[in-house]
Amino acid sequence: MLMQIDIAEHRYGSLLVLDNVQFSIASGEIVCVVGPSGCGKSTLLSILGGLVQPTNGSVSYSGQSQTDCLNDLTYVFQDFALLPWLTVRENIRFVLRHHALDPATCDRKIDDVLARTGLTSFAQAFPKQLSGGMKQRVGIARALVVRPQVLLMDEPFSALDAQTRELLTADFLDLWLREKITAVHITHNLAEALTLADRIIVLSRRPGRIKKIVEVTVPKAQRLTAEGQTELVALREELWSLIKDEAVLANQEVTA
Amino acid sequence: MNDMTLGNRNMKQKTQASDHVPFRGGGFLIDEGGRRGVSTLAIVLLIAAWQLASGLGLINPAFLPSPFKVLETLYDLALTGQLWADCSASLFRIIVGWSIGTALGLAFGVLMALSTIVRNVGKPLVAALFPIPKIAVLPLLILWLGVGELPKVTVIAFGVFFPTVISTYTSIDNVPRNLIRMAQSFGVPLRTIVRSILLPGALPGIVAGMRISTGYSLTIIVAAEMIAAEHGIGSFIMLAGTLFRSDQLIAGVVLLAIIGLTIDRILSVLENRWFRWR
Repeated sequence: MLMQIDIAEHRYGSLLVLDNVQFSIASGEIVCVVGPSGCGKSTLLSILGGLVQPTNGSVSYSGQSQTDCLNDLTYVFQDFALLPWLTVRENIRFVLRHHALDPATCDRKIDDVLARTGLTSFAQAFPKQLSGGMKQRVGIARALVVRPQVLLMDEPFSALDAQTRELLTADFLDLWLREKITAVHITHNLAEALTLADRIIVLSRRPGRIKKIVEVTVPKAQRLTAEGQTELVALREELWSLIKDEAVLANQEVTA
Repeated sequence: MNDMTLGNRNMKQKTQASDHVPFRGGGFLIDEGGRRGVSTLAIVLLIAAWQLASGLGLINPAFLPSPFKVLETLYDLALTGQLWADCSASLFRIIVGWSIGTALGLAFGVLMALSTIVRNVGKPLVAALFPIPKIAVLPLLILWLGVGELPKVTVIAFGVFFPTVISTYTSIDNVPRNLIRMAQSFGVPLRTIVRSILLPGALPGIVAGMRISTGYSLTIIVAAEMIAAEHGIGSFIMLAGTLFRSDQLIAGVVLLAIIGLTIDRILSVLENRWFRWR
């Protein structure tokens, strides 16, 4: 087991945000977390990566010693979080700078990751010159360059238009099939979750509780084929029925 | 019922009058690059009108000499070396005072942005001291520091310090927090976050603040030199005033405008070079 999450509760002031959230993540697995907006998905991910301390609970992590891993738990952000004054190449180099690497190794790592994410010809571009999809590719490339044990993806595709989102989801699936990355992927998009996840954790509306953990048994290589899609239809129905009531109730809470 | 018929009639009229959609405006867009020549032309026309009015005897030269007379005066001043003596005295004070004030203001602004304690102490102090007309402390500074260059340089540094502090810490505050979270999540050390995220992110705002602080330092030095100085554009203007030399008065003002314009151009060049990423 790579990560064990055991959060008894998490509060913002007196507001209970997460309640009894326990699950584990195995190596090479993609775990998607879905739930209505405001259910604490992003807070959960911040806790996983050590950006927020849980009020009561702990996250344990047992990474195998992988020599070239520079940052065990690495985020991909919804809004990309690229430095606008640096080129694509320099943005990726930015997260390597403080590791005492010789320049040649650095360049090799950057070239490698640019090639794997299809960014080689954009290396000298500034973020403002890129489309949203390309910006998030840079976000993913920057995360991969440190060879993380677990990728923590905070709605990475939700700032993109629907077509770009599908393309990037397919690309990420491709990447997984080649490299078996471990990832926790927060999303509100069920199709995205069904394409990528080994397991889907369904959270209730606030306070977020685990409503159900759904296993997706269709092999990942077949997910985007016609047969795979047919198999996933039933699961999608199940997921939607789990989320729909929560979403309706959450919506009424916000408007009330 | 009435409204309905009225509405229908209007609709009909409109569709009959024109089949294509009229342009209704583009949101008051200002094209910075377009019609550049207009600004130069406006200045040339203004000066030409002034010259014409002077030539026709519409303006009393004792109050407002002609542009040519002002140019002539500037030329004479340059020949005698007085122009350079006064300009260099003022510029020296501005450069030294502004540099010290800016360096201290930047340092304190960064501290205010990063430390809650410094901010809580600094904010009310800055709020209280910023609005004081800095020239009001000049006599006190002369009392403390003597009559040489020191009080003049200090009063500029003092005047530049506060706007620099304010522009620095508000600009740093405006750097998106998620960029800092990103760096923290990659284990980037604080020193690098300050140097490579906060400062470059805040730089456009800081340079915008420099436009204001250079303007301040020009205002302050002229006032300070009018009160107490042998050389400098301020004392030159003061002397010209007591001698009723309106040509020299105008020449002094023109000189200040040229200095202001030059500083503005330098800052624009820096902005274009540094902020290509914007």
